[in-house]
Amino acid sequence: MTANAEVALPPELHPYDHLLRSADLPTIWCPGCGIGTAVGALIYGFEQAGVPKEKRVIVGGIGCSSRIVFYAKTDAYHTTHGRTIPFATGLKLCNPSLNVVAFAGDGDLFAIGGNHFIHAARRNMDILVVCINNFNYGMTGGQGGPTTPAGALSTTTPYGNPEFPFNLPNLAWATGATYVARWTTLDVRRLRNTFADVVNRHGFRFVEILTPCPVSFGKTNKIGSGVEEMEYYQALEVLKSRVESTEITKTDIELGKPIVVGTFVDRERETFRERYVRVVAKARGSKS
Amino acid sequence: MAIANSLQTSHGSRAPIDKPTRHHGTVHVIELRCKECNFCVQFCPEEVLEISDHYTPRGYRPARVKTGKEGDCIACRFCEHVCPDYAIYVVEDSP
Ligand code: SF4
Ligand code: SF4
Ligand code: SF4
Repeated sequence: MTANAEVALPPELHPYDHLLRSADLPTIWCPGCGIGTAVGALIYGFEQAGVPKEKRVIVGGIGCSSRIVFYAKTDAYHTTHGRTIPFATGLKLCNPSLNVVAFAGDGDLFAIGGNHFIHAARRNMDILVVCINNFNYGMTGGQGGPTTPAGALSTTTPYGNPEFPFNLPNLAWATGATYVARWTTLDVRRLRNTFADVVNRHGFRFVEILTPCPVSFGKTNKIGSGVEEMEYYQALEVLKSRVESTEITKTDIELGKPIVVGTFVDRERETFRERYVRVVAKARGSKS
Repeated sequence: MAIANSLQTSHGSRAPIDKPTRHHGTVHVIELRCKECNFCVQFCPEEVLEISDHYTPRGYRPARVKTGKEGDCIACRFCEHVCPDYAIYVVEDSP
């Protein structure tokens, strides 16, 4: 194959090679998929925040995004569909010194895993939840799900989605998350800074990342290739930070309408563990 | 008085404090990882990059620096950060 001779080998390795399972690159994700961009941003966040390598844990569920566990060189667990948050919760409670990130798709976290999400947020579990929102079930052929915009096309809504989708930041805010942000993969700088800022914090933190899925959602809805979906975001993004509670409902995503991105919520609440430790101390004290 | 004198004498020779520093970078593409997604090409603020006309053994045409644009990279690293396959990175040249 003549092409081989033309492949120039780099004089050095990519600056992230020691943080990746680099022998497995390129990733399995479709060309134009944005998940790899989000993974790189999370790795940067760990590095920048100085999280010790042996304390980094990523929990993936089932779906395209959960393949993160095969590329990010951290301790990782690839759990069953929808159980990303329960596994992450157990891990963090058993070993509070770990820095636990649950990284999964909109289907995993908000369809089958929806109950886990709201209850972990309500309890203020000490985990960072990252949702790759590509508006459909990409891996299994582009079926509609709980984040598919109203009217959008998918293989299960060929005449337009009759349902309304979840507004994920609104849901996270309403159920008690202490930090809520939404970015697209085009906002990679802000996304990197967000991860660097929140990865070491306590409490239930939620970051939604709108990600191109050219082979399913992009194609079905005639948005086009991955880069065209990025241009779609570029055209429609509106940056707003610290959205007031009355305003958060205005961050709904509708096809072809402006998409509000930013850090919406940043507040303090006692975590589940802090409260639990107090209750245990009280119970022990009353016995003696 | 001494202070005023020293200010006067240094005034003519001091380096301007607001001189803009222009960063410059050298782009490296790990061709076998590139999947021709075009993110780096489309969003490079200096339009330094393009898609090659040859194919890698994986069947993609990798990104490359345009001929004549080798000196135009400002080392903003957007390409490096947005690349989903860790296929491009930038080394900042010392000024
Ligand atoms: S199906 Fe969609 S989300 Fe999955 S890898 Fe392909 S582009 Fe990415
Ligand atoms: S570092 Fe910035 S200017 Fe240089 S090639 Fe990459 S995107 Fe373009
Ligand atoms: S962003 Fe990466 S994979 Fe995409 S064209 Fe550029 S170098 Fe290739």
